[in-house]
Amino acid sequence: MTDRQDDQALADAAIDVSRDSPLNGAGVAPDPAWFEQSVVEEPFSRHVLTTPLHLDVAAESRTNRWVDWSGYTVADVYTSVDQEYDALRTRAALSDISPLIKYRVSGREAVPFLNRLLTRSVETLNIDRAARAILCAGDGNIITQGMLFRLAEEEFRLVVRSSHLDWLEQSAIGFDVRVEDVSGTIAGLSLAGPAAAKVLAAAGMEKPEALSKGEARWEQLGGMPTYVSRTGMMGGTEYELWTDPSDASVLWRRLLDAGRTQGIRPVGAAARDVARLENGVALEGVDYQSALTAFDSADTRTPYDLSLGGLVDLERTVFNGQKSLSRVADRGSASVLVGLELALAEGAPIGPVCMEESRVGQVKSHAWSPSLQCVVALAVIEASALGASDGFTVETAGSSRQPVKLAKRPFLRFS
Amino acid sequence: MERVDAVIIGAGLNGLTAAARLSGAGLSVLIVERSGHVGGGAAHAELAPGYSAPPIGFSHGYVSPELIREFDLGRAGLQLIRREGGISLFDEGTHVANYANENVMRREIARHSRRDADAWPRFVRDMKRQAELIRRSLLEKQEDPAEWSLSAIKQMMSRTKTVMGMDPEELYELTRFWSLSLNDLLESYFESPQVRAHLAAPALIGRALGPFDPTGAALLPAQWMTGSTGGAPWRMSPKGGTQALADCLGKIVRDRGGDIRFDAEVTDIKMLDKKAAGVILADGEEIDAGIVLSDLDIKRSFLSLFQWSGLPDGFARDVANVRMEGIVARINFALDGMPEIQGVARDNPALSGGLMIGGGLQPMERAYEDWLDQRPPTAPLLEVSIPTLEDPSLAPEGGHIFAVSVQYVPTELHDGVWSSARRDALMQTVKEMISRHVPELEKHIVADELRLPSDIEDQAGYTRGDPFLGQMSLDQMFFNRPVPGFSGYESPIKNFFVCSASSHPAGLTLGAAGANAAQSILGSVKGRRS
Repeated sequence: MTDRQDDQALADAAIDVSRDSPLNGAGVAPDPAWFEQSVVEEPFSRHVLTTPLHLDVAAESRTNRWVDWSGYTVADVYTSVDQEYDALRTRAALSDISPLIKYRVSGREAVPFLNRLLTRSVETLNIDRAARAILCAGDGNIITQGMLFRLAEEEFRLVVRSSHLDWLEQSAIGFDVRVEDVSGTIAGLSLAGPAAAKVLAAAGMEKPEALSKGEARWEQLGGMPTYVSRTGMMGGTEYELWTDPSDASVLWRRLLDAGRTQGIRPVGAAARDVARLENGVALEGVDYQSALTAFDSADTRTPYDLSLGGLVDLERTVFNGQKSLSRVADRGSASVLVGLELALAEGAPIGPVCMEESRVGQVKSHAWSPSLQCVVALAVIEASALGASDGFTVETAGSSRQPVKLAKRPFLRFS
Repeated sequence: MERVDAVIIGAGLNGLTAAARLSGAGLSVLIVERSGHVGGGAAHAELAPGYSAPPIGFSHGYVSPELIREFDLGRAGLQLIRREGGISLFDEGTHVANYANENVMRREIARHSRRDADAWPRFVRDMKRQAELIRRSLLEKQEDPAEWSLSAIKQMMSRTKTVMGMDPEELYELTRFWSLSLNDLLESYFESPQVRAHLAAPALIGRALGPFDPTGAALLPAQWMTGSTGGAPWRMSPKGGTQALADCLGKIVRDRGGDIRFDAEVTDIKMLDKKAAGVILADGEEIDAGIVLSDLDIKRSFLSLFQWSGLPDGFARDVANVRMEGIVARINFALDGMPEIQGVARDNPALSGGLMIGGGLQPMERAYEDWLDQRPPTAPLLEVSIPTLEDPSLAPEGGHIFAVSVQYVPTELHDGVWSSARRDALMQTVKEMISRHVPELEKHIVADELRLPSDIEDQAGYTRGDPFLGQMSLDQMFFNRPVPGFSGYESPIKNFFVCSASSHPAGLTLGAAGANAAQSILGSVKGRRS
């Protein structure tokens, strides 16, 4: 009992800054289990599960539009999707990506363990480099995707969108390796857009443009140790900054200040999703379902179905799903995720994808692309229909058919 | 002398749904009921002035959407209340609760184990997949594959196709679900013993099994038939309790031209040319009927209504061998207010799903072993439902009902009888167990009642007090229910059918056995006519 009170007292003290915040009102204690998940949580007592940036984010929100991301409340729209999109593509955009799940994988056999889990070898991954990681189940379908950072010879950080500690720990049986969920100890900020490097330089980073794609390094930004990586999924110039939760708020304000002259804006999940689609990235839980949680196995996809075969290295020692994947590689996928461009107005209803009279696929996610002035969509289409490169239509309002164009992904390319 | 197309023995929920379907098809139907009201084991009684509770039946049950739609019960005035949640209380002052929202549920589990919170979506997926298989078979008549009839072969083929079409992984899953114990299955997902106990306990109520017994996992997915959006499953229960459902069905039977006669006990089946031709009442009155349906359990249907010599060779023995076990005693408490439950906020929505008090898997197993040895229970597994939280109409203003199912109560004791001292001791044990978590319970009690399995047998006529009218173990399910070689609803006696929960799908869904029986009768009548 006393232990618990001490924990509580510590937690209260640690976040005392926000006690006078307008969000909480006078004398109202802030949410006791603020991001840090190690604090003992009272049953059914949490009002809002917040990231370390919540108060700063809330102060910027003009629309009160929020979304749930892995249980956390994050901003969907701050001012307007279009304004935020413009900032992202033409200037600089700052976002809170703290809800991403982060695992620390360390130990003598971290490399063999990850070799077993990932579809390609991690031996060649250098320290302070990140690589796209695909984790498959035995049947070759994707469990989750993310980025793998190599922090040291035997220490890695796996950043993914959905939490699979149970499966990772089970997979780790027999390996001299330690898997920890460190999500609550690392806050994440995304800084994207053509002016992102300038903003970083103004915030105190030396030569941010020297950081190549997939590279990362430790920086002191205003005295705060920050791990800066050139990673992201929206295309264009993107940096992700990983920092201690207690520094996150200061770092957020520092970057906004540093970017003021560059026209930086906080950007919410809605605009980020448009950019993600333009970059042609399929999202777990939206465009396909995780092999571990899909109710209908028809909703799961192999890396080949998502045209990610380049990230699968079949010619090496055993890894999860190897047998099934080599079978898929030989025979080809049954259905494939493709990019579609639709000459429709923004907000038009979109039905199934057809070829002549028969339905051959389904649009999974779509958005109006301000840069391309058309609707870009990701659709799952029967591979047998893909022999033809045109002739596809989608059903739209009034059951009329609208021709669609197959498009290479990413839809939008950046030099 | 009266003559009807169909006479139905017993106005329980299954008797009523059978009657409603048959009269809807234009048959003249008469239900003869021993008591003075509809509902059978689902009927409510007055526990204290103004308090209405079912003395025997569970105060909840799965009402299938198909049933609601077929009889248009929503427009007939039946209101349904969604009961979410369910909270398992443990001795250390901790609890695990069910929430319908996936994120809230995962957060709840994360309080016990972060890892288990991640295993939850995988568990939900597997539960939903298995529940879908069960749900599909629920509303269809079970054909006996040994009969080689056209429809039986068709059903077998379609099942074989389903099974053959599965990939090895799925088939392995299916075997796992039908053979493992509750604990073994749950251990493949969850490390926290409390989370495991929380998920296992509801599947044990009414079943003569312990949490470590093989095949125990089979009925776990049954709770997921209502569906789930990623959180814990919920149940629909009628406002006014199961009595309201019975009343509503009774009204539909009468609206469709059927008749219900009360205070009429059937003692014999009238036979003509070795075929059932009607029923004979206790006062000697005879009612002629083209077909006779029995909403009694399988043992009472055959062993008490027929001359055993008139049954086919060996049939009486097969029926006698059907395993029926009394294992649940029912206790109702009428309370004059809602007492505080330790560690659970009053506005917690999970409360409407009731409380589970069993102290973990090991104590449950010990309680089960005591039951096997026929000892009076010292720490049984308690399911406490509080129907008045969502349905205040069941009690006077401010009052509440705690309806307790006491699991692992033997029908007979190894060293004597259920004397009144023993009954008092059981009541005291239950009060003390609940009071550990609800300290003010006894202050609020204005009335209580206890029904042992033997009382349930006396009052509702369930042999040995078995709430499922035949244990729902794999050997007594699907085409083996009620007895192998006589699946579905037809019996070796021509024109005599069993429509009670002794038939498929048993107690899995309220009223489905009756509706299914009527359907199969109508099918065969039509077949004969054409």
